[in-house]
Amino acid sequence: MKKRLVAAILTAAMALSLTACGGGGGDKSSSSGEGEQYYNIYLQTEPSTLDSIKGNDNYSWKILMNTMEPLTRLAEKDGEQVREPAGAESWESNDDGTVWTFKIRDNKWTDGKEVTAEDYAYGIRQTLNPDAGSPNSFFTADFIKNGAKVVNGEASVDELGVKVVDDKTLEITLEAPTPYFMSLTDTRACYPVRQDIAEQHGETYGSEADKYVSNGPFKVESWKHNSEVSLVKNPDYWDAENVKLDKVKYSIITDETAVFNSFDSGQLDWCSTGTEEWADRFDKKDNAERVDTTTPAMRFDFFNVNDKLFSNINIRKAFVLAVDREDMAKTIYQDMHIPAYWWVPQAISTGELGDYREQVDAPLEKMAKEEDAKELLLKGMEELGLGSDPSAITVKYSLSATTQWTRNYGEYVQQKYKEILGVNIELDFNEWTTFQQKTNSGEYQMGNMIWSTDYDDPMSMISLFTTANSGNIPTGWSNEKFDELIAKAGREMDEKTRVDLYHQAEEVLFNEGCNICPLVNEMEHSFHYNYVKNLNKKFTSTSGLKYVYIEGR
Amino acid sequence: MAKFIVKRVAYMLVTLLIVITATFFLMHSIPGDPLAHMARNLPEETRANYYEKYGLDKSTPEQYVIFMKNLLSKGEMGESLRYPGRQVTDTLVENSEVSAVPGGLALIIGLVIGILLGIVAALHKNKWPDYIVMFIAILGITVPVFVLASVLQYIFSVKLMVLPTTGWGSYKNVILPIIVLSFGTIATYARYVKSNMLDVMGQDYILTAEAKGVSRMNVIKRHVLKNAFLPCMTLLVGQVSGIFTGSFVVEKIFGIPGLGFYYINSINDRDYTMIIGTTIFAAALFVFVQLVVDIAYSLMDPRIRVK
Repeated sequence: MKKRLVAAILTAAMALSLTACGGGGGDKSSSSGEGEQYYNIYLQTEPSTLDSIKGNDNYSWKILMNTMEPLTRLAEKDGEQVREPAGAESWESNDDGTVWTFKIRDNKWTDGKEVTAEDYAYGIRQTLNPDAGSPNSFFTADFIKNGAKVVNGEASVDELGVKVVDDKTLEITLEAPTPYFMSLTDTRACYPVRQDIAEQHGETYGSEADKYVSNGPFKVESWKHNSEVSLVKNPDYWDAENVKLDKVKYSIITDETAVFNSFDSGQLDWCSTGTEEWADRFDKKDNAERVDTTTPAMRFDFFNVNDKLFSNINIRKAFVLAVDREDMAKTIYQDMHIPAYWWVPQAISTGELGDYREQVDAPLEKMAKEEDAKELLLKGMEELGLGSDPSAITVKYSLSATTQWTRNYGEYVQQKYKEILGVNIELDFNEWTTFQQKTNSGEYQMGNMIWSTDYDDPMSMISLFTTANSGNIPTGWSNEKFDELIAKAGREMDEKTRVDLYHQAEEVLFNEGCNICPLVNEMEHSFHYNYVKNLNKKFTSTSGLKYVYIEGR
Repeated sequence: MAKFIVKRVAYMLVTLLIVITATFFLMHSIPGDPLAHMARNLPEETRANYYEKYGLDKSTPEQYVIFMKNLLSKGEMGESLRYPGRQVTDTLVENSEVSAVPGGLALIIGLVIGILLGIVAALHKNKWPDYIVMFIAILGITVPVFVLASVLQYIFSVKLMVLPTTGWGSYKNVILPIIVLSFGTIATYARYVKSNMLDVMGQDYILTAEAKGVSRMNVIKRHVLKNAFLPCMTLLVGQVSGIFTGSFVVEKIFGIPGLGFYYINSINDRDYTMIIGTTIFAAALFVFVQLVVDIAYSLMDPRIRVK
């Protein structure tokens, strides 16, 4: 025994001293003889459920996107995003854009049943039914006729503006014209659900692979909890001839290093990294391609405007302007994310006009030119009667994690505010659940969060600050002019005017609110082996893996 | 003996009851909302329905009574708040079975190697075999498992490409986890057995045996080993119950769908039913194994026989 152990240690030592050999050749033994149309990727966490009504995590969303057929999909054609027919083969709206009629395509569920308009209607209704307890109701509650009333239990589900005209025709009536309504048709809130199957399994619907039916390009072959989700091509899918992949394996790997090791050894075909160190390492692989995309997610600070200090707009502005975003992106994020001088992130588009940020100036860049952080601070202090010594001010900065990274980050912020404004920052580290409770109940001064968009329209980000939605980022700020602009934008059918309204709203948000302090706009840095073709390049696309194929593995 | 067992079982139940009660009230007293994992705030009506469904709208003592009723009458611990539709008891059974494979094998291997190394070290005290064993033991105790795991993964999966990095289902998946998990056990037992043996070898009865002319081999076999092993059984209690509860770190690195994940994440998620479920499971295992060990002790060692 002793000998064997010594031998093992020697082997380990030898292996350590070996210099790079091979690398990326891949472990093909497990999949040989099946053709090359298989794709191995990963999920960072176990999906909560495959029930589109109950789940709202990104991990189950990835599985749903590939196994379910939404009414439409946002696909990429020649680098451009196109909304293409999916579960609906065509759609039209009445003249004022309040009634939308979808023609449901001939398609089959994995158990052989025909897909009907009723399946889509059931999914939409249940999402808004308060008895079903869906976290996804915010998508559609304000848009579909009587949606808000139904969610709040003031109207019955039958009164919802969703009507099944016949087996293949679905009619959705909106509260008012909603220019970006089509962007909601591929969210979870509009996914089809089979009533008979959902009711047959009750609470357990979607908790196992065999307690779930789907109608998309792939079907779930097996789901080993906390280990892997295997998908296979769905031969009964209406567009099966355009689906190239035969097998997709999602390994569930929560450990970052394990993910990178798996990609490095070829057991994964794709991976994304937020660390420069690994990105540099994968850059050296000549058989792998790097894709950098901005993602519609913001990292930001937010202020409690009910707090004495932050009730003053000049103080808030001072804190917003004092941040050296270039330096933060470099020092803290090693340029893996980009400095953000805006609230509506890059990667969000407005219908045919394309990327919103390309059409509109960055509000903070303008403000930085006109005003000075230190002056604003002193002005605000004077208004509050706090004297003129910034070092007398101490601000409690609440963070939503307790990791080493968060601690380093906190110290950086502490040091920077001391340097630029001369104020003291007291760090307050919390677990996410505690953080949420604290901020929701207003027991904080300044907090830090990440928010990513829910659907592809500036509305999904900017509407978070209307009085009605103020619970999500609880700053306590409310502004009538802002609310009006958002309400107007929500009904404006002309794209150009709408972009202008968003622009005005964003200006009001920063000039009169400044209750948030954008820091960085997130980016995704992903790597895939060269044999993986036709991956979506844009984060907001919803065609999933439908058009992905493998060539020359 | 029967009286002893009955008494111990009664103690065991009381201990469990205290653990369950304390955990139940403690977990409800920590701030945080089980719905916090949903980034968006739920509409009031939906939230109220959700709370009602899981009985979270009732006061903590009321919830406690309902929970105990279900546990004692039906053996049910309820549905996970984080993973809709999954019964906590099913999760416990399925995942502890997974954890038990690498955990059990690692314990057996670790025990065998650790004890052998300990004996070797004791018999060659202050000679080179002793130094090597103690070097390994110090490594095993000081090198954190996540470092060892990552290094092994890098060597065998990335460089040599002979073993998969993560996954579950093939014997190849358990090799590295077993090595990592057994390393600590080897280190612990090697040191423990060595010091126990040296302790016993210094006792008067060993001198007596040697004076009687018993061969060295027989002294070791009949007197030293038996007495040196007994204290090791105390260590076993924690390790045997640890087999089923799994290791969070090792399971995470190798992607093993064991129970370790739920111990940490249920608390972070405030998944109340899962927290109490995993706690009951760990506590029950621990007191049960302890009972077995105590009985074994009293059978083997007349010095601690119970009245």
